[in-house]
Amino acid sequence: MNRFKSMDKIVRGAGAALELRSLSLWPAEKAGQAVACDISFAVTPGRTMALIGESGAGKTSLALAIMGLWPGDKSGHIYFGGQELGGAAGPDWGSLRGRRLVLMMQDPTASLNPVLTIGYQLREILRFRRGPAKTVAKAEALACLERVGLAPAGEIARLYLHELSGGMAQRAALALALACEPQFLIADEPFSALDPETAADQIELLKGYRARLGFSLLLITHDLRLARDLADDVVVLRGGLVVEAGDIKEIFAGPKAEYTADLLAAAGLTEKARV
Amino acid sequence: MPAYALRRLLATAPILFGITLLLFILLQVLPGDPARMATGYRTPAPQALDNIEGRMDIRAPLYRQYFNYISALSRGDLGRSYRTQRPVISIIGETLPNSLVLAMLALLLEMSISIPAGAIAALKRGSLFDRGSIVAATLLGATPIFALGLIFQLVLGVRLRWLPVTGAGSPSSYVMPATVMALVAAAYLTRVVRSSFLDVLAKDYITAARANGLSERRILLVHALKNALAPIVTVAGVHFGFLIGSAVATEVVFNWPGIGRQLFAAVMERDRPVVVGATLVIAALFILVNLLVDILQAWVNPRVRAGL
Amino acid sequence: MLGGRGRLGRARSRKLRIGFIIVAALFLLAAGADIVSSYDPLRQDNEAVLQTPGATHFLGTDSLGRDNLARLVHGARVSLAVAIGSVALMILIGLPLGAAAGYFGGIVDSAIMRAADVFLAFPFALGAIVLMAVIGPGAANVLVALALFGWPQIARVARAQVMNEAAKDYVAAVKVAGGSAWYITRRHLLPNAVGPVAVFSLTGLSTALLTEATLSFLGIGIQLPYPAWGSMLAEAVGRLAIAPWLILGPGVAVVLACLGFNLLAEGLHESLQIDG
Repeated sequence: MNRFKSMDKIVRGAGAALELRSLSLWPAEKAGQAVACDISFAVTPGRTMALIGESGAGKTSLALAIMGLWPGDKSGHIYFGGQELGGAAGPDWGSLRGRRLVLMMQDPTASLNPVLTIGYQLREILRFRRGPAKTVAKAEALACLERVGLAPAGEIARLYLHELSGGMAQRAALALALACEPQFLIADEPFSALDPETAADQIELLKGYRARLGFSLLLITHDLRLARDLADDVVVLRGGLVVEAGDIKEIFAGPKAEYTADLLAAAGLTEKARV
Repeated sequence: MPAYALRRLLATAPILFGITLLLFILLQVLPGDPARMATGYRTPAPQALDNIEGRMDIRAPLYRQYFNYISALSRGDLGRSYRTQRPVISIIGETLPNSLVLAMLALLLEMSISIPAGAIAALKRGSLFDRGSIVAATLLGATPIFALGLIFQLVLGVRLRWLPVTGAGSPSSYVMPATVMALVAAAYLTRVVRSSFLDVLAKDYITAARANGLSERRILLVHALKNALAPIVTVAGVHFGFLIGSAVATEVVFNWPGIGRQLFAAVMERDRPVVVGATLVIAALFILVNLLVDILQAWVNPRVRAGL
Repeated sequence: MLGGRGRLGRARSRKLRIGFIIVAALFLLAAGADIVSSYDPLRQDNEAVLQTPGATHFLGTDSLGRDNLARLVHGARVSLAVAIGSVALMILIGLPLGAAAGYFGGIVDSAIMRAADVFLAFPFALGAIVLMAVIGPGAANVLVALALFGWPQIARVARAQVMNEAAKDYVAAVKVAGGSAWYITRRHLLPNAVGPVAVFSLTGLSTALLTEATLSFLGIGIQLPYPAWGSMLAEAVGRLAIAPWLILGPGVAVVLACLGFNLLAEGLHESLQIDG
């Protein structure tokens, strides 16, 4: 059921890197309001989809659901590479998580373990996902750190979370996310806690990685400028419902929904006045 | 790490002095007549002076006495028992190890009950296991140790004749006293473990670890445990002190040849040097344990090393 | 503040309510001891030794023919009074000292904390036992002994709370505006300290009760013939083989009292946490 004409360009079905069909999510604690309602969209392989909306619109919940970590009830389907996740025949999350499908959570100072060194957390992921020997993992971990600009890698690997600055922690989180060169990366409000200069650096870093590794990216953000900078397609979310979706340039130039127009105006991105 | 340990060690020195002062005062104030105890007569006999007070020279001014007392202590001289005339330090040397063994056994038992039980209760929050363990813990925590001990004695020792009731003769005689102490202490520790794990399991870095595909087992044992450990270690350390403190009642009930029973007997018999000596040793031990707990805390939680 | 909506909210206030009911019931029983039982707890009756519970003696009699129910409710008075009295004294000493240490800092803080550390160096029960050896047995002495080894922990809690609160910006503002130390403490710092101190004190009540029971059991607490739960328990368990009903009264009483105090403490702790 295609409600959004501009989404025709987006590859669906077996060709999609990730597809949600009529996904609805309910909170775990008490029954009642759905957190997300009848969400459908697809991400084309190699392209970047921005998921935008205000706080509380349900964006992070969708991210968790895609990773298979949603604690409450859900209905609908999630397809990864054409196969249904969590379905009887399809792959289960265990084989995908961290390897082909990776989530980079919102706040790196909360998503890194405070009592383990950065190096340890990196080596752990490398060993579990790629199975290299201890010495190989150590060298690889250092290489990962250097690639995100954390140097001298040897010293930084021995540091704990509380010894890193915000920017360094974000880089470390990026290193952890991309350590195993995933096919699909979900980035939840990346760089939102950083100052503009540091954020700009890291955005370039991410772009470089994306060009080199060619992964599909689902960018969750409330920052429309970032979305415009990074994404090819966009889905606008409000109160758990899809408001509008399609090619980002088209939608930002001529939003069909009033809510989208309001968001653009608030971000100062309105390119032409609406009548 | 070593720097932290050293700092903590230095901080405890004044406390040790404070204790010796307190006990010195206690020595002056405790009722007890060395002469009468030693000889059975009201008049002082020569042997009666061969105790810590004799060496303190009662006629000297107080500060001099205190000095003598401290120097005697530093030489390991705690005086002689009024009753048996044996050096207090030997008496303690005989009885303290028994108490320590019992306390360690109880602590190990307590932790091997509490940590799994608490962790499982946290994982399966709201389940029957969770509720059941909370109820059991609440009831056990409200029972005085001596009562539990006496009940155990009666049921397991006398009625069922499974275990020896008193004394420290065989390995099986360790079972009841250690279990009783462990159960009462575990009541509180299990709740702490559970609450700590609940806190940790809700944290973002656990979700992130799951998102990274790590197994639940690894997450529990490596990622969650180390973070949950901090309050557990504190309480376990406090419990060691509690176990030593409750040694008196437990050892009396089970007639265990430990320092607690010795202390109590000395209190009853007004054997001053033994009372003071045993108390001093126990207090020093307690401080040492607290120090170790602090250091362990720093090892477990890297953030503490920077803080203090 | 209390209650709150939803499943969790009801569970929280339930602890508080149950704890409160238990404790209130025990208090009423203790206060109305004479109404509950017309027997004199001290009166011995050689004719009616170790009787099973029955019409004349609801909980039976002990080895000297004294009515158990009477001993139980009168013992409640003593045990509860000692527990509460000692905790009250702990707060009386510990709260002001802790608050002072937290507020003034520096030398005052060091001095008070060192003193506290010295008392904390002794395991609670042990310190009480040794002190009782010095000052002799009896209810009043037990009260003092417990308070003397309990105040440091209250002081620590109070100190931590005061330090936390005093560091906040609005306190600096009041100081600049000319508020005196006493005013600041009374109006702003103490009210915030009261909560955690209250929670801790309630837990302390059950510890005090258990320690008093242990002291009485060892014979250096509340002396016979005056009834106390500890010594009653000791006697009861000693005669468990021949008179198992003896343990009912004091056993249930002690467990129930501790349960009540602990539930109150937890309920209060959880209610306060929502206020955060």
